[in-house]
Order: sequence, then structure tokens, then C-alpha cells
Amino acid sequence: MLTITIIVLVVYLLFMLWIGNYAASKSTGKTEADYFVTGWKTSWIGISFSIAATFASGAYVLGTIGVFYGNPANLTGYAFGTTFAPFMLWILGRRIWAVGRRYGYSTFTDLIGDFYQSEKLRVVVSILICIFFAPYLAVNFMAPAILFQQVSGGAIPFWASCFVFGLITTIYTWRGGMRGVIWTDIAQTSIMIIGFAIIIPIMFGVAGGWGAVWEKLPEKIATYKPDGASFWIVLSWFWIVGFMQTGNPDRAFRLLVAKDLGQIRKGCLASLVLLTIWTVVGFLLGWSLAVVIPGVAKTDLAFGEAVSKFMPYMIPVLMVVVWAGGMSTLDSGMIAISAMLTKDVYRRNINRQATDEQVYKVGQGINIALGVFAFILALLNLKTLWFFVGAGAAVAMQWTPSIIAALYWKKATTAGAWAGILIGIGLTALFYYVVKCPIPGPGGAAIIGMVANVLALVLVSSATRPLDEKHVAKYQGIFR
Amino acid sequence: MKRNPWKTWTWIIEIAFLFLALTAPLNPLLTTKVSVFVWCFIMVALGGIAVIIATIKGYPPEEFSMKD
Repeated sequence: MLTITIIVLVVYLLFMLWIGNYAASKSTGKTEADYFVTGWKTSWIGISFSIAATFASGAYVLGTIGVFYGNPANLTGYAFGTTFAPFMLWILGRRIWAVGRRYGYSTFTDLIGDFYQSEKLRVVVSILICIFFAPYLAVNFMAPAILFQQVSGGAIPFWASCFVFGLITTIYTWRGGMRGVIWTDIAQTSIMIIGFAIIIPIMFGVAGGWGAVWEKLPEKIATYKPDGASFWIVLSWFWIVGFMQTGNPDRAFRLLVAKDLGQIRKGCLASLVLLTIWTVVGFLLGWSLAVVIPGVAKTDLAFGEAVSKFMPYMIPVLMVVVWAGGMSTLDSGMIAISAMLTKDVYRRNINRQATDEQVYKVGQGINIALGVFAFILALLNLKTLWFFVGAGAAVAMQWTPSIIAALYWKKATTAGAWAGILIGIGLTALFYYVVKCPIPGPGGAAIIGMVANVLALVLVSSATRPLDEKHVAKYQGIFR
Repeated sequence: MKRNPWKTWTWIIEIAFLFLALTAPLNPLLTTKVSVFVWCFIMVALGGIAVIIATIKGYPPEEFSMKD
């Protein structure tokens, strides 16, 4: 089975390389706009499939489904978050796309820097988001490599999987830029949906069918804890999943690449469908795994263990699904961080006279550097998968209040944005990395950070001099 | 300019979804696995309706100028 798995993976990897190369051949020129925002030519299919693919990381397939397995009821917060996310995508996306299209933005820090008229704010936010988000890249190496090592009985070492995985992803991202990322994301989402459609019915068959799964699913893990004790964990999951789509640069920047507003609208509706599919997949696998293979202590390994034990012939399918999930999130993270470092740090602060072609080449170089960095970090194999996913998302979403304020609140000021973002990031990082958060779950620190962020933004903005009315109207009056 | 009533409906439904969904763990009626998951999927449907109304009726794509 190992030989077949390797053959299937090689075919998959070659396919991804071909798509990346084909995307590069469709480039309209070596320009920043073409490399980072596809020259504003992406349709709703690209937007929605890319958001869905980026969301369904390797950590989703193993980590999130592992958590569903451990307590499916608490993950109803996840379902609520995936339903809320498309709403946020549209409310934020319609304005940010129009502003971005008018002023040629390829990152959210472009908006922050321009609206708040602060180069320092642009660079500091960009670097902070990149620092905290970078470990998230490594997670996407880890999940596929952990699984391959597990199902091969240790024959394929962790480092070897990480190396091949990172090499291929880096090559097609470096070559194809955002276009390559989006086109491979479309293929990867399709592969994942087909893979799950094959695996789930078989898993239910192993468990004795739908009726048996439902009957055997233990009440104590499938219901909320008494006396409202599950409230905070549901809110925590809702928060991280709901705000992650507009907060994480890897997927949120899809709101800037659309051909027109109609494509974003269709993209949001299609995202609703695709994200709901991921929720249903999570529930179905969580339920069936809890029945088929109860009591696995390290929940990240439950899915792989069940497939290895009961349906080893499905290992090649599972491997491709997990690798597709990991690659689709890694490539999106790489292109987003590359865009911020290239534009905010290089073009704005290192070489202001840089030509478009120079920016394009620096962007490509940063993609390669990010691939190497994430590979090295992945080899450390530190904590559980969801720690890095949660930490990256929780910190990254702290720019959201200042972005919403820039698009909708006339009284927002530069000092307010500084206060909100720094307090938000500081508190979130404190409760994620240093002090135990009083709110449980992956979004606990993000909730505290975001509430403090909004309070600081409002209070400091109210106490400081507003921005020029005409300047504000250029952003907030864009549809009038 | 005539006010679009669908904007109001968008927010009524979205807020109802958020309230009913997030207070599910406090709801004394949701004590069995059937009730927990049926309620969850009803809430997903309600939230989905809010997205559809927001995108199609409440806040449809608007015209804008590429110039300042």
C-alpha cells in the first residue's frame, strides 16, 4: 500500500506543479498587480474555492476533525462561525474591494497605511502580523508529514515528507504567484471534496451504518455540559472561525483580487456552501470516528489511526486529501506574507524607486525564503496542530476593527488605530503564549484581545483629532 | 434616497441568528444529542438566509468611480 500511496502522491504533486506552471504562463507581465492580485481578474469560483481550500488546512483534516471526535457538541460553535464568516466577507469585502481597486491595493496594510496616513503604522502592523502568522505556515508542513509517518509505520521520516511537501508548494507559489495559488486551490478543494465523499460513507459502513453511529454516539460527548458550562467554548470556536476568514491575510486578501463586485457577491454565496460542506464533513467524521475508534488520547492521530486500522486501502486517498489541505493553506500564507513584506517593507521603506519587475522578483524571492523558514520551523515539531492555527488566527484578526473603522466609522483616528491594534495584539499574544487564558478554547485570547482592541480604538479615537473629512470621504463615500 | 427595508431585515435575521446560536449551550431545552444537532443545523440555515438576503437584497453591488 505504501508504494501505491507514493505513486498517487507523486501524480498529485506533478499535477500541482503543472497547474502552477500553467498559471505562470498566463501571466500578463512581471508586475506587482499580476503577481499578488492576479491583475484583478479572478472570478467567483477562484475566490470561493480558494477561501475554502485555505480554510481546510491539513490541521483541519487532522486537528479539527480530531477535536470534533473528542467532543462534537462543542464544535457547534465552529458551525456557527462558518455560517457567520461569509456574512463578514460580504459586509467587509464589498467596500474593501472597491477601495482596493481604486487605489491599487494588494494587502490590507495598504488600506491601513493610507487611510490612517501613517507609514509607521503600516510597517509595524505588517511586521507584527507576519511574525505571529509565520508559525501557522509550519503547521501545514506538519500535518501531512505526521500522517505520512503514521500510516507508513515510520518508513517515511517526518523530515522527508516536510521537504518534498515544502519544495513543491514553494516552486508553484514562486512561479505562479497569486494566480498559481488560486488555480491550485480550486483543484485542491475539488480533490478534498471528492476524497471526503469517498471516505465518509466507508467510515460509516465500518461503524455499522448511519443508525448505528447515531445510536452508539455517546450522549456525554455529544451534548453540552450542564448549567451552561459549554457557553464559552462555543463562543470561542465561533469567534476564531467566524473572524478568521476576514482576519487571516492568507484568505482575506482574496477579497482584493476579484474582477468586479458581482464576482465577490457570488464568491461569498459559494463560500457559504463550501464552508458548510467542511462543517458537515467535520461532524460526520467526528461522529463516526468517536464510534469506530473511541478513546484515542492524541486526537490529531484519530483519523489516520482509524483509516490505517479499518480501511488501509483508503490510505492513498486520505494522504492526498491531507496533502491538498496542507498545500492549499501553505501557499496562501506564503503569498500573503510575501505581499506584505514586499510592498510594506521593501517597496515603501527599502527601495522606493523599485520598478514593478524588481518588486515582482523580490516577491518571488520572499516566497522561497518563507518556504525554507517554515520548513525549518516545522522540523521542530513543537505543539499540537491547533495551537499554531489558533495563535496565528487570533493575532492576525486584530487588525479587523481598524479596517472596519476605516471603511465605516468617520471618527476613527490614527492614534485610535495604533492603540487598538497594539493592545489587541499584545493581549492576544499574552494570553496565547504566556498566561493561561480565562476563556477556554482556541478563540479565548482572540475574544479578550478584540474586545480590548475595540474599546481602545473607540476611546482613543474619541479623544483625538479626527482625520480630514475629505480624506475620510474618499474611503467611506466610495459608493455614493 | 429611498431607504432599503432589506437592510433592516438583514440585520434582524443576522442578530437573531447570533443570539439564538451562541446561547444554545444555555438553552434548557437542548439536553439530548438530537436536540443539540437539530438546533445547530437550524441555526446554520438561519445564518445562511441572512447571508443570502445581505448579498442579494440588503447590500447588492453598487456603482463606484475609479476616480477620487
